[in-house]
Amino acid sequence: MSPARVLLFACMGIMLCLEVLGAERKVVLVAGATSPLHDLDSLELRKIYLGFTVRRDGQSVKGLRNTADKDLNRIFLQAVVAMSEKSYRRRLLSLTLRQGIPRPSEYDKPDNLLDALSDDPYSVTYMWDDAAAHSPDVKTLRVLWQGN
Amino acid sequence: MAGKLKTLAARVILIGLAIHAVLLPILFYGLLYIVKQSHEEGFVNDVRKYSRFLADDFEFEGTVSDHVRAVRLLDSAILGSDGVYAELKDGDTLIRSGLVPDDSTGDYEEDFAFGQHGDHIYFLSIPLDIPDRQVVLRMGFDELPTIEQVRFARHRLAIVLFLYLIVSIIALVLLSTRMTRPLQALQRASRNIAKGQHSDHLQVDSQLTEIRELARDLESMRSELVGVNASLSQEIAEKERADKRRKLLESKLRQVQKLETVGVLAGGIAHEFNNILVPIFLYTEQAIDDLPAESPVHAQLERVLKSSNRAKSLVQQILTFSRQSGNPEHKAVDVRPIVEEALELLRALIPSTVELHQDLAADACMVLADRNQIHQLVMNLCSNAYQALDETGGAITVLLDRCAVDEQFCRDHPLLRVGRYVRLGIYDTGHGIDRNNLDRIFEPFYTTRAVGKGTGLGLSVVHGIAVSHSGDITVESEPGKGTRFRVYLPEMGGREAPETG
Repeated sequence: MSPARVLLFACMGIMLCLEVLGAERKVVLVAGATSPLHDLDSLELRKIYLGFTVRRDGQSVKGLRNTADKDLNRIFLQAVVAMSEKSYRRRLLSLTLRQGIPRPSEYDKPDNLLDALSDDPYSVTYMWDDAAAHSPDVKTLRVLWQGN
Repeated sequence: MAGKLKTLAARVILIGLAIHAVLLPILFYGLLYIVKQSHEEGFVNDVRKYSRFLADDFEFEGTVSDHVRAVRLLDSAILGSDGVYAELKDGDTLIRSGLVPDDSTGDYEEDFAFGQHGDHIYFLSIPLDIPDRQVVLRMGFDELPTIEQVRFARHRLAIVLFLYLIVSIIALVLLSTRMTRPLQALQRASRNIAKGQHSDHLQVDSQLTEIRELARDLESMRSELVGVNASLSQEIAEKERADKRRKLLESKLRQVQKLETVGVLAGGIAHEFNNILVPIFLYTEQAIDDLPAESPVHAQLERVLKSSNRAKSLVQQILTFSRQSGNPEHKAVDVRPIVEEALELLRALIPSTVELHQDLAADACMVLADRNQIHQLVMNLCSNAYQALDETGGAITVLLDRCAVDEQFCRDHPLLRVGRYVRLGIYDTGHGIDRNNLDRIFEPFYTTRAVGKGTGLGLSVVHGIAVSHSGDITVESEPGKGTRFRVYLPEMGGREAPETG
C-alpha cells in the first residue's frame, strides 16, 4: 500500500472518530413501523405518560416506558414529563388510586418493548435515535431531546 | 475508680451512652440523608416543572418569533425563580435574557441530578415543539439556596440531637438512681442483719415489680431467720442451764457418794473400835469396883473410864453419820417442841453478843423420826452457828415451817421427792464459808477451826441424820455475811410412800 493511501485512510479514520465523538445524541419519539400515528405534541405526550387519554382515529394512544437505559429515563423525566422521578411516581400513583387510570407499562428489555410496539399500533415510546435508526420495526415521530 | 464503674448505676449509664454513641450518628446521618434527598428532589421537580411551563408558553403563544416578548418572558422566568440563566436557541440564533451577565458564555452541561458537574447550577435544555424549527429553551437555576437549606437543616439536626443526648444522659442518671436506690436500701438492711440487727425490717418502696418481690422475699427470709435465731438462742440458753444443773448435780452426787464411802469406811472402823471399847469398859468398871476409892489406881481408872466414854461418844457420832447407829426409833414426832427444847439449852450457852431469834410454825410439824437424832441435829447446827459468831457476835435465826417441794426443786436436790416437807432453817450472820470449804463441810473430820476446837463431825452427823430420815440438807453461805442451813424432813402424810433410811 502506498504511503499516500495509508495517509488517506488515516485521515478518514480520524475524521470518522471526530464525527462520532462530536455527534449529538438524540432521544426520539417512536411508534411501530405500521402505526398510523404521525405526530404528538409535547402536551399530548405529557398527557399520555401521565395516564390521561389522547385519542387518534378513535383509538386511545398508549405510552410505553423504556427503562432499559438510566440516562434515557432521566432525559424522559426532565424533557418529557418535566418532573423528578419521585414526583412522577407519586403523580401516577395518585392518578391510579383516585381515578383508576392505569400506569404506563414499563419495559427494561428492548426486544419486549419492540414487541409491544408491534402489537399495538397506537402505542408510542422513546429511545435513542441510533437505536431507532437500526430497528426496522419502528418509525420516528419526532425528536424529544437533543444533547449538546 | 474501677470499683465504681462496676456498680449498677455506672453500668446503666455506660450502656446507655454506648447505645447512644452507636445510634446517634446513624440517626443523624439517616435524617440528614432524608432531608437532603427531600430538598434536592423538590428542587429538581420545581425547576423541571417551571421550565416546562415556560416552554409551553413559548410553544402555545408563538412568542419565539417576537424577540422582545421572548426576552421579557425569559427575564420573567429568572425573576420568578432562582434562575440564573435563560435563553432560547433557535437554530443558530440566541435569544438571551437581559438579566444574564454579559460575560456569561452559557457553556453549561445539562444536569439530570442535583449537584451534578459541581458548578452549583442546575442546567437543563428543553426542545420546543415548534413545527419546522429546532428551538431549545435553556435554563439554569441556582443550587446554592437549596444547599444552604440542607446545611441549615444539618445544624438544626445536630443541635436537636445534642439536646436529646443531654436529656438522655440526665434521664439515664435519674433512671439508674431510681433503680439502684431500692437496691441500696436492701443492701443496707442486709448488712444490718448481717451485723446482728435482726429487727430491722426490709422495707423497700419501689415501683419495679422485680425489686418489690425481691424485697418481700428477703423480708420473709429475715423473719424466718429471726424466728430460727430466737429459737436457737432459747435452745442454747436451755442447754446452758441444763449443763449448769447437770454439773451441780454431778457435784452433789460426787459429794454424796464420797460421804457414803467415807461413812461406810468410818462406820466399819467405828464398829471395830466399839468392839475394842467394850472389854475396856467392862474391865475398867470391874477394876474400879474392886479397888478402894482411896487407891491412887482408882483415880487413874476413873480417867481411863472417862476417856473411854469420850471414845464411845465419838464412835457413836461416827455411827450416826454413817447411819449405822444402833436402832434409831422412828416414831411420829412433832419437831417444834424438840426445836424449842434445843433452843432453851442453847440460850444458856450463848454469850450476850449473840442474839437468838426464832420463828417457829404455829401448827405441829409432824415427821417420822428419831427424837434424839432430831434433837442432836438441831443442837449441832445451832452450836455450829454459835461458834461462827463466837468472836464477832451477831444473830442466829431459827425457822421452822412446812413447805411443798416441787419437781424443779427435786431436780436440784436429787435426795428429795415431790411432796410436803418440814423445813428447819438455821441462819447466822457470821463470817461465812468460802466456796472451797463449802463443798467439804459435810465430810467427817473436816474442820476449819484450830486443833482441839472441834472434831469435824458435827455437820457430818447432821447430814447423816437428815439423809437417814429421807431428807436432805442445803447450805448457802457468803463470806462476811453469814450462812444459811436448811434441813428438809418429809412431813408425815406429805407423800404416799415416804422412803426411810
